[in-house]
Amino acid sequence: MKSNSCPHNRRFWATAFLPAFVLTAFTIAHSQAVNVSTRNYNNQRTGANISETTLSTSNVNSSQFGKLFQNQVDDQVYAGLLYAAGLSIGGATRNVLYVATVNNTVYAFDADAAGAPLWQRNFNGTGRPTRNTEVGSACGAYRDFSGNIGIIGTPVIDESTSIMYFVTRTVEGSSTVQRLRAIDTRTGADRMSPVVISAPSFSSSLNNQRPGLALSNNTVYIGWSSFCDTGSYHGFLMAYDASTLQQVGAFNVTPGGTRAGIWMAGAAPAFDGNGNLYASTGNGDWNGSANFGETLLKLAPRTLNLLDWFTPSNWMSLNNGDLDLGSAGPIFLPGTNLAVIGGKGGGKGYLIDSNSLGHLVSGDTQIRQVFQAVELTNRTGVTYHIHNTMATWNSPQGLNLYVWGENDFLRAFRFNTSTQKLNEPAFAEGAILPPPGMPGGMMTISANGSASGTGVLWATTPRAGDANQAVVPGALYAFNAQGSGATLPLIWSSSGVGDDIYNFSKGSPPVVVNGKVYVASLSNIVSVYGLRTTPPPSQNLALNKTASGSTPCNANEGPAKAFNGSYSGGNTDKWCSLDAGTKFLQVDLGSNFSVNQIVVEHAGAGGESFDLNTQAFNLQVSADGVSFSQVASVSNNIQSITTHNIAPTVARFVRLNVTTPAQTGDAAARIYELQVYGQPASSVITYETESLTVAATSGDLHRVALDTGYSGGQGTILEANAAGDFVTYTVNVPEARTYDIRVRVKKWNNRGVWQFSSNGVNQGSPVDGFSSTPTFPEIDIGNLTFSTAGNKSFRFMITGKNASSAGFWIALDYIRLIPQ
Amino acid sequence: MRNAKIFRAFAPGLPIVLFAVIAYCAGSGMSAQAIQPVTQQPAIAAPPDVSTPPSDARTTASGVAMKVLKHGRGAERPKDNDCVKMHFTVWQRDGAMLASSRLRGTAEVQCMRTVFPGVSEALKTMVVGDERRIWVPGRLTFTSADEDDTPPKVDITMDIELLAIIKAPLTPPDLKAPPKTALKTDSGLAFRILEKGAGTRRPYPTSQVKLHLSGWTTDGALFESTVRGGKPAVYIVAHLIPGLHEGVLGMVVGEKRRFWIPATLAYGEKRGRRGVPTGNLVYDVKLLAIESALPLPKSRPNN
Repeated sequence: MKSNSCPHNRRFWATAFLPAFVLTAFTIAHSQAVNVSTRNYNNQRTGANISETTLSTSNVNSSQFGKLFQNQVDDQVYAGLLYAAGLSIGGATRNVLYVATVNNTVYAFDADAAGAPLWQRNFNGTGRPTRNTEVGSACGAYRDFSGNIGIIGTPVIDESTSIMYFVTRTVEGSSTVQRLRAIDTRTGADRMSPVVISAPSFSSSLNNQRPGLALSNNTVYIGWSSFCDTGSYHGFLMAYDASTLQQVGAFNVTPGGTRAGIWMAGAAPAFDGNGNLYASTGNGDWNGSANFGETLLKLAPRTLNLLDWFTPSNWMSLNNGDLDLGSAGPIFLPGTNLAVIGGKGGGKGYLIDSNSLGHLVSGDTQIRQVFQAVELTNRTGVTYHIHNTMATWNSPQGLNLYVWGENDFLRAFRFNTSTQKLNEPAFAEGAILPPPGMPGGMMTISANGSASGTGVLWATTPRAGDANQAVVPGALYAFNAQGSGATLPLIWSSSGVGDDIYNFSKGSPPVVVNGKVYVASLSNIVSVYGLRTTPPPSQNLALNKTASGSTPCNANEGPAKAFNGSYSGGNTDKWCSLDAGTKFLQVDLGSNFSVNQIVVEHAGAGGESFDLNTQAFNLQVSADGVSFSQVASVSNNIQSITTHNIAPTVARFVRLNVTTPAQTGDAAARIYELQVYGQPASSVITYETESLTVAATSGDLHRVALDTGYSGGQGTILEANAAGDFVTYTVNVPEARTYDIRVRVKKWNNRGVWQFSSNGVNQGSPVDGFSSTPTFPEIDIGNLTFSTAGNKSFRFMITGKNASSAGFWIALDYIRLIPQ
Repeated sequence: MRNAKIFRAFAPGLPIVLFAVIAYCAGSGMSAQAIQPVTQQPAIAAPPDVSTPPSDARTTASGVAMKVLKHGRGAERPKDNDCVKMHFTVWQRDGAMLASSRLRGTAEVQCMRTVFPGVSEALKTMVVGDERRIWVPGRLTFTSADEDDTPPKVDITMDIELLAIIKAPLTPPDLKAPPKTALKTDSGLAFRILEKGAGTRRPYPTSQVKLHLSGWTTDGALFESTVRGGKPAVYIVAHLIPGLHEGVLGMVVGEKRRFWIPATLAYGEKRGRRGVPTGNLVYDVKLLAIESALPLPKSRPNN
């Protein structure tokens, strides 16, 4: 690492007089189109969208506000949600919500209506995501994640180029590969070839890309921590040119030691007006010259040369241990040069002049202020960490800073313009005290500038249990951010029927934009809230449908309770059964649906002990109520809410079989909710060929093809070279009925002539793939009747080639089944 | 994020280099304007006896030495469940100051169960207004209270001024088991009405209720209390642990009840994260207000 004995180098002078940077940087433009292109809305990480003109304290209440709809994704969401307003996508102008999952999938959804993704793209390629059982051995059974570990850090969008940047993590053979990707926000297609992350001493297996990515000065900044401090890893920050994806800087936090990860509970680095980067580190080696554990770092743009640093001296706190400074990311107070960070040490917050971070001084007397951000009197013997970031808003009364640490209430501090410090203690508190444990509140603010009555502080927390090393049910709360006297009144919570946020995502705070609130979960679901006059029709196909099941424990704990839409009605708001052996719970959806997701809320979701969560169970579906097929089987569940994404299957009946009811040997099955999601069985189904199972090929290379002309930017190519070459896909046909089969292809100058067949029977005429220029027509194969639903083989076989064609390749985009 | 901590090695000899840096930069031709000089308060000088307790210091059986600097006028001494407001300055035995609330200008609130065991022991012998110097051996500083690794244990010397005792609510005398007069519900929850309320309105599971509550383990440790901090908390009834959920549904505004909650209706028997109590619990709960009830579960239209 380059030594830097001056806190500012010459770059400071080159950029110090950029015009009015602070004003533009701290203010989201007041216009209709508000975008969310980065974590916490802006590079100062204020956590506030101050251009929200729809939601306010007068309409966010249980009679006017609630869940509008939810969208399914393929896995858990740790990354923050992003949003682009008024984007031209798929031939229409839409507001678009972006979701990245731990299965390395990125989705673009219509942000205003339920429905299939506008595009989705998986980046596993030939690999797969890391699994939680493969990392974090220093924690024994590592449960900070509970399954796949793919995309974790929040992506970042360059609005000027419509490029989204993010890091995927895949296991490929025996090695782990992390890649920086740059895709088009309108199609999901690559805009540049991905680059493999590397740097001296960087470990793609030990390093965890936890913090959000950042974009500043046409540079993408990426940070890394670890998994449970396992192995000899180093905290890292790297800089990549946004136009070329060339690495332009890399900063190892502990080149002469180990650890000091950049965690920040998923927050992204903050930037001052000169483009200098601020990030805080966790526990690790420290010597004040090269190794910087427990430190707020200030690094130069692009080069990431160290400019300045602050290390708190409170290691000898009166509290016991546990002092990560890097548990929360830094933020800037709007209109000032003051940065604020919180950490894990005794609930302290630090207000620091970014022009002079002050290094390490006993008693921390060199910095502007050390303040008691978290009160310790409510619970003792617990932790008082601050996770994610604080949030700040210029209220009508003055500049407020909001903190919601562990085992404490939400607190609002007022910035005193005379003393240039925060007044202590907090001037107002929220009244919700979350369950004992981590991580406090994940906050965001919506407001219309500084207008009175518009400031709403939104926060997610666990609603039961401790999210440390666990997946727990969550809740969304809304507070009046302006406050009323000494309180921040609670104006709404997600405890109403149908308003569930499901499993709390500890990495992804709510996002509020253009009148809607978006909440990610660890339940493969993203929930969308907004104003409504009456609750919209539920997407839960099982709601209030005919239920049956094993004998209830009590008359008021019958099967219907699992289908009433409510988890919050107390101990009797569940189906309970003490029958011997396997206990079953069943619902009749009334007619056939193409079912693709089942959510089970176990004892813990209803407020009971997590020890009573179902341990072993399976799920079955049936079209006739007689013949059932198993679609999911779980043998070692500990979670309170489980989500089961299944291949779309036509079913009218869904059955849950409980084989081991609890963790403890308790004999009663307890289910608060069994929710079923899917589509009307007769809707059009599109199978992206790159997502289909390949049953067989002639032995020629079959691979993914990238072109923005393909939907999602991807298709498949069979590199056929002779007549008779073929590829066969397995397609799960949802219903026994007649479909019109459509195939979209990419025609070009080296394509062959192919024939489509299903289960050995040719359908339609041979299709000539040749075209002198690339085109993407949708070919109508014609009607095909299936006598049964289920897996069918769809084969594409070369029969010859056009005389003008240079080859025999087959290039496919998707297969579409249109019910007739 | 992992909680287990491997703490960085402390560097007691770290020079305070800021002013030297300014001088260096100015000397090298860069304007010192680039840096706003920090107004740095000097550390509080260590007392002459920082390294060793003087002969008039009293040493307890555990090894904490104490010397009275100033006598206070209070009568009460902090107990295990109390919190305290205090000023303090801590030095290493070589005189290097580690931390001080006096430089911050604001007194610090800490709770007796959270501070170093050696400091807690000293505080328990003090009355409000007392000022003492204490010499705490390293083994009575950081404890391994959970899975976290702890910082290095070094001997410290500390000046403490006890400003106020933030009293815990009285510990119930009957923590071990409910008295015979207590009522029991089918679930195993037992309760006694301590203060009568008014009216007949009771909360729903979806209600927001304002509560003052205090919770003890059966060995008398107060693990949570809104009473001590003086600020009641609002809960969604459905988000309370099952024992309190059931219990609060039966209460009217103004009523105060004591609940004996079996572990199965609380956090279970298995030890969880630090601070999450295990085993049977006792709660005193006062229902101050039913702030709102969200609409009760009703059927919603299907699509």
